[in-house]
Amino acid sequence: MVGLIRSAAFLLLFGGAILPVLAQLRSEGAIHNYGTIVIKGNAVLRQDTLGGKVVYAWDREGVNQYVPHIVYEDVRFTGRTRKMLLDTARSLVALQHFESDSGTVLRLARGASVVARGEAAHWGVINPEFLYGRVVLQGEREQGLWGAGLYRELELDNPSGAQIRNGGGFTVSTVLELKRGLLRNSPEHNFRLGDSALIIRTSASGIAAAPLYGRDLAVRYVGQGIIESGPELPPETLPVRAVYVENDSGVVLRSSIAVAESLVLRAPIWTETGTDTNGHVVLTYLAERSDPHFLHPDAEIIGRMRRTRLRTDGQPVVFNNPYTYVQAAQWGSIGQLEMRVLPRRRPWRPQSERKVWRVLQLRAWDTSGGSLTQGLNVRLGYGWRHLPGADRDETQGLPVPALVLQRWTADGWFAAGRSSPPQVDTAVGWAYAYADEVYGAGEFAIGLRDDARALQLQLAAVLEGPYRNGSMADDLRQRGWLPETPPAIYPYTLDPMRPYIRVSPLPDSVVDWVVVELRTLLTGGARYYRTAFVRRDGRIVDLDGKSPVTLPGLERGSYYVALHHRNHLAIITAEPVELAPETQHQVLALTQDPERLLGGTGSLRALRDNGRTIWAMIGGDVNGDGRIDEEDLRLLQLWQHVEGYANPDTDLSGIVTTRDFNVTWNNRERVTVVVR
Amino acid sequence: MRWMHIRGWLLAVLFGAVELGAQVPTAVLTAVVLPQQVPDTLEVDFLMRRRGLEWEGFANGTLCLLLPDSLKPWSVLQARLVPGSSVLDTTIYRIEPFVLWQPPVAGMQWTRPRLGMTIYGPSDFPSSQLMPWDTLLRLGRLQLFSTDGSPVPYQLEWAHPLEYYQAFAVKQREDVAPWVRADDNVELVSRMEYRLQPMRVPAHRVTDFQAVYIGDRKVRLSWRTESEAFNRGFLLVRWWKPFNTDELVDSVIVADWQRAPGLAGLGVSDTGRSYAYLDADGAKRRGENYCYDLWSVSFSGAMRYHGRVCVAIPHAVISFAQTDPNPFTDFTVIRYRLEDRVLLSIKVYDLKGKELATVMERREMPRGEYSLEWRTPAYASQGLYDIVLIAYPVDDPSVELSRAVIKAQLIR
Repeated sequence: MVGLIRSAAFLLLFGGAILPVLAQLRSEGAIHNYGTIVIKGNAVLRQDTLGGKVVYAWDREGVNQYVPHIVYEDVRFTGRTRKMLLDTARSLVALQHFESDSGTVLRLARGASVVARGEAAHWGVINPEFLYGRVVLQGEREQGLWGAGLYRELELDNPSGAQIRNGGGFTVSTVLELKRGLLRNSPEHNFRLGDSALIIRTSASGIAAAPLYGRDLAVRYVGQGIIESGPELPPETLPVRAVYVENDSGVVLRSSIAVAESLVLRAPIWTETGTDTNGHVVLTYLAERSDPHFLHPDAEIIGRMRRTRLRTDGQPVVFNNPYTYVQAAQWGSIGQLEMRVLPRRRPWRPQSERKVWRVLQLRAWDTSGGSLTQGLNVRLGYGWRHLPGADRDETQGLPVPALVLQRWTADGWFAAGRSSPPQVDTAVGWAYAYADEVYGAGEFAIGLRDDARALQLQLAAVLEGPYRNGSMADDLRQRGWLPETPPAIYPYTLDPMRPYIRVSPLPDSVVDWVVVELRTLLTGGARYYRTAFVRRDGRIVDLDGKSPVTLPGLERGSYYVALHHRNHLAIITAEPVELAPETQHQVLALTQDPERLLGGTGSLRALRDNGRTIWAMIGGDVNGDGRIDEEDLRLLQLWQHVEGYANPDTDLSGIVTTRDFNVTWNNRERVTVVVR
Repeated sequence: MRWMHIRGWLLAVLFGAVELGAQVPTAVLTAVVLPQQVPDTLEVDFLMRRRGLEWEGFANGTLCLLLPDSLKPWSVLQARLVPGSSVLDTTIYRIEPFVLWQPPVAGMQWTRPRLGMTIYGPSDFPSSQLMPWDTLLRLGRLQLFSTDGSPVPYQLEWAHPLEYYQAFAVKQREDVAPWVRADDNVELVSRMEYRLQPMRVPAHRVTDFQAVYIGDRKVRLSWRTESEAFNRGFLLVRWWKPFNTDELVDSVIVADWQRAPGLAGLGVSDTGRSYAYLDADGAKRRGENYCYDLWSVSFSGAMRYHGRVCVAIPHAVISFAQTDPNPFTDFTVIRYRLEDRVLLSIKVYDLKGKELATVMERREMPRGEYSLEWRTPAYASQGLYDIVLIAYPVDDPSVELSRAVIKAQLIR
C-alpha cells in the first residue's frame, strides 16, 4: 500500500497488474500508466493525458476528492467522497471508458463538463443539489451507454450515435441535448427523462424510441433544416409543457401532441404534409390564457391545431397563425375548437377557382364531446400570405378588398358571417380579416364577395300596433321619423351588426325595424340575429326593402324562428323550421297560424278586420322587457304627447296618446314566451 | 249567462256593423270656444253626445286642438281645468289639460303647437262613467290663459289628422272573444264626429252716448253697447271748447277701463250693457263748454272711436222762476230752476215791501228744478205780492248771488 506519490522530475511507470492505491497524487512530470491507479485522495496532474485506468475511489463522507480535468483513457469514480470536477477551462475527457459507481456523487462546477468518447456507464449522481452538470457523448463511433445514474445535462454530439445497453436505466433530469447522432434506445434498454426536462434537438439527431417521460417536458428544435419529430415528443396523452421551434425550417409532426403551456415558433410546424386531405396528426394546445408565439412571418402551424380550453375573457383564441383565431363573448355550448389550415392549397371543393389558395377548416365540439356543426356564433379571424409575385403568394391576383370568408354548404360556397374589410401587412406579407357571426363549422374559403351565396328566409308577420284597415301603417316612415340606423335599444342591440347598418333612403312601405332571430334550441343553443324591416303588407324584408331576409353565414338546418320588435312581444315558432336553399321559397307567415307558434293564440292578439280575424304580434311592451305591466303604463303616461320614434308609441303612429295607452292596457299582463 | 252570451254577440254584430257602415258616428265631440271676456283667458268646453248604442262607459281620451301659429311666445300659455266643470267623477277620472309649444321630451320630433285634455279613466267597466244616450255632457271646460297678460288666441280647431292627434276610447263591458276582453278600452276615433263651435264675434256697437251736467261741476256720461267684440274697455277724453269757437283744446283722458272698473268691456258679448261715468273732475270752469270723446280699446290694443258729446258747466244761478196758479187764492206752486248748488232763500213781500212770509231761508239746494207749494196765510189780504228768490252760490266765486222776483196776484 503506497500512502503518497509525489512525482516531480522523474517518470513513474505503472503497468501490468500493479494496482497502486494512493492517498494523494501530485505530479509535476508525467505518469505513464498501463495498469490501474486507484486514488483515495486529491489528485494534481500537470500532464494532459493519462493512460490506463484511473479510479477515484476515496470513500469517506464529508470530504471532497478533487479530480483534474485531463484526458483519461479510462476513468472511474467510486466511493462516497464527493468527486469535485471544477475546472471550467477544459473538460474531463474519457477516451475509452467513463464510469461512476452507484452512490458516488460527482460535483461539476457550472460550465464544467465531462466528455465521454467511449463507453459511459453512469451509476452515480451528478450535482444532486443543482440542475446543471453536463456530460457530452462525443465519440466518433457508436458509443455505449448504460447505468442507472443521474445526468443533469446529457449531450449527444456523435454522428454515429449512442446505443443504450444493459437495460439502460439512467435519468436525464434537466437537459438532453441531441446535436448529432441517434440516441438508440428501446423499451428494453431505455432511459428516463426527469420532470420539467428539456430536450434540444437538431435535424441531425434524434431518439430511436420513446424514453420514459417525466412530467412537463419541453422540447426545443434548433439548427438548420426541417426536423421530423420523433419520440422526443411524448404522445398527446402526455402533454408536453412547451415546444420551441427555433430551427430555420420548421418541424414536421409525425404524431399528435399536446402542448400544455407554451408554443413558440420561428418556423412552421406541419402536422400534415403533401397532398393528404385527411390529416390525422393534431397539435393540441391546452393553455387557456396564453396563445402561441409566432416570431417570424413564416411561422405557423400547417395542418390541425386544436384548443380544448377556450379563454373566457372574450379575447381571441389564436390558432395556426397570428391571424387565425376564434373569438366569442360567450362560448355557449362550445367546448373545443380545431382549425385546420393548409397554406398554398386551393380549396378542393367545386367552384373554388376564384379563391385564395388556403384551406381553412373549423371543427367544434360541445362540452360533452359531441360534434358541433352549427350555431357557433363566433368571430373567425383568418389570414393568408399576400406576397404578390412570390411563389408563396396565396392571393392569386384576386382583389383583396372584395375577399370575404365563405363556407361550403351542401351545394356551394355561402358567405360565412359578415366579413370585415381585409387588411394587408406588406412588411410581413400577410393579409387578414375576420368574419362576425360565423355560425357553422366546416370548410371555409376566402373568396370574392359576389361569389358567395346566402340562405334566405321569407317571413311575414303582423304587428298589432300599426295595423289599421287591412294593412299596417307606415306613418313613421312617411313622417321621416324612422331612423336610418336601428337605434341602440332592444331588440336591435341583439344584432351585433346594428351599428354598421344604415339605410338611406329608407325603402317605401316599411313600417319599422325588426330583428329576426334563428335559434338551434328554444332555450340556450346558438343564436343568429338579423335586422330587417317589416313592411305594410306584413312581409319581413331585407335592408333593400323588398328581398327576403338574407342570412349570411347561416348554415342550412333546422332553426326556431323568432321575431322581435321594440314594443311588441316577441314570438317564436313552436317547432324548428327547415332552412335550406331548396325550401327558402316558402313563406313563413308567423302570425297567420297561431298553432305554429310557441304559446299558440296566447302569443298573439286577435284583431277584427272586415268581419274576419287577423292575428298579430301583441303590442304594448314599452320597455321591451317581455311583459306588459304597470311599468309600461307608467311610461306611457310619462311620454304622453311625445312625437317621433319612441317606444311608448305602441301604435307606431308617431305620437303618444291614450290610444297607445290602450294598446298596452288591452294587453295587460301578457308575457312573451320567448326566453332571451 | 245566456243573456250575456247573446249580448256579447250583439255587441260584436254592432261593432261589425259600424265597421262596415262606418258612417254613423257613435259619439259626437264638440269643442265650444266660449266668448272671450278678457284677452288673456279663453275657455273651451268639450262636450260629448253619445249617439251609438253599442257602448255606455267612457274609458279615456286625448282631446287635442291646434293653436294658431301666429301667437308667440308660447311659453306664457298655460291651461287648467275649470273646477267642477266636468261631468266625470274626478276621483275616478284624471283630467290633465295641456298646452304644448315644444316637444315634451327634448330631442324628440314636433309637429304643431296645441292644447287640449288627456283624460285617464278607470281600469274596470263598473267604475266607468256611463254616458246617457243622446245627452249633451261636458267632459270639461279648459281654461287657456297667459301668464303675462298677453292675448291668447281664440281661432282654435281640432287637430288633424284625427287618427293622429285624437283618441277616444270606451270601456268594454264584457268579453267578446277573441277580440276584446271585459274592461278593455276600445278606440272610437274613426267612428267619432268632431265638431267645433268657434267663438262667434259680433259687431262692436256703441249707442246713446250722452253727457249730462248734474251740478257741482260734475258731468254724468252714459252710453250703451248692443254687442261687443274683443272689448277690453272704454276710454273717455275731455276737451275744452272755448266760448264762441269750434276749436277743442286741452284734451285730457278723464277715465279709462284700467282705472275705472266700470269702464271694463265685456270682451266678446252678444248682449252688451249700459255704461256710465261721472266726471267729477273739479278742473272744469263754470261758464265754459266741454266735450267728451268716447273710445273703446280692443284686445289687440286698437282704439275704436264712438262719438262726441258736449256739455256746458253753468254758473250757480236761478235760471227760471214762476208760480202757478197766478192769480191764486189759497196756494200757489212756486217753480224754479237752480243751475247749481246754492243757498236759497224764498220770501214773499207785499207791494209796500213788507215781508209777508219766509218760505225758505238759506237752504242749500243742489242743481235742479223744483216746485214748492206755498199756502197763503189767512191774514194775507187780497193784492199783488212779490215772491223773491235769492240764491247764494255755494261753489261759484264768480257770482255773488242771483235773484228772481215773481209777481203773484192773491184773490180773496
